[in-house]
Amino acid sequence: MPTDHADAILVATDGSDASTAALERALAVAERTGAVVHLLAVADTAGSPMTFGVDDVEELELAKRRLVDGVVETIDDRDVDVSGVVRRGAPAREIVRYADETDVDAIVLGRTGRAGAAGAMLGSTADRVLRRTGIPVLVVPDAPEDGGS
Amino acid sequence: MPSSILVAHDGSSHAQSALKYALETFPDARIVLFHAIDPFETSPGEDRLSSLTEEWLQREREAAEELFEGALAELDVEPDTVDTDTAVGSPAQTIVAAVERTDADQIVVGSRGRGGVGESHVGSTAELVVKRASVPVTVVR
Repeated sequence: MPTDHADAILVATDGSDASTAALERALAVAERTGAVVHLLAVADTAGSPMTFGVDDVEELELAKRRLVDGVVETIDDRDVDVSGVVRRGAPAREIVRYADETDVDAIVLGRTGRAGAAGAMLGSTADRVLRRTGIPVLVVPDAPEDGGS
Repeated sequence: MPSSILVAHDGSSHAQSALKYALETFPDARIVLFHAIDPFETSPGEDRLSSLTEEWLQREREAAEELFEGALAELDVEPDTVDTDTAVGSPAQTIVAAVERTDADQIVVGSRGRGGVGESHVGSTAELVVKRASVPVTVVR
């Protein structure tokens, strides 16, 4: 009964080290439980002070598509059912929305994304997701967990 | 896979959900049930801080024991299958510090503690733990 707890896991990726660590965690869980992994990248059309032109958005979305496809390819040898998804919008909102739509059992994401320290000060995507969802959220630091010991 | 999971418990229903989640999701892991003894927490009906005497600490430790027993009994878990730990200090700090001491490789916390205000908000303890921990943290509502 307990082992089928995580049937679907959503992992958000932005290509950062922390999101790579998050994916690794999710894969480890999925390999054990047989859960399906949804790998989501969000083309952030809300974060820039500039207004996006249609071409820019499409380019951004294409870049995210390549990112997701590339990551899915690198984990081809793992015994996990992974599907890559790209959405556009504000990252935290899209992550929460996708999680609700697909009824995932857990959300896994990196602590600091590519926005780095500035993003962390403003409130990271992880913080926003935590505040907006009722689904368990696993936040993974980018530092190796046994670093220093 | 995590082999050792620190579950922080303050007696709240969110913490209880966190404990349940940890037990169900990681059935093979060693669970360390942790309670922070916060010297700056005032209990309801008390308007000033307790004096930090040996007796106070003894009482707090006993209260933590009761909290652990109650939490585990509610989930039909044999108390001796779970490790327990307490520390004196601010919850976030002691939780982060307990990771090293107990050799945990993951933390599971409730989204809010007992002192929360709005339903939609994540507690400051959960947020601080997420920010500072050196290991992955699962926040459970």
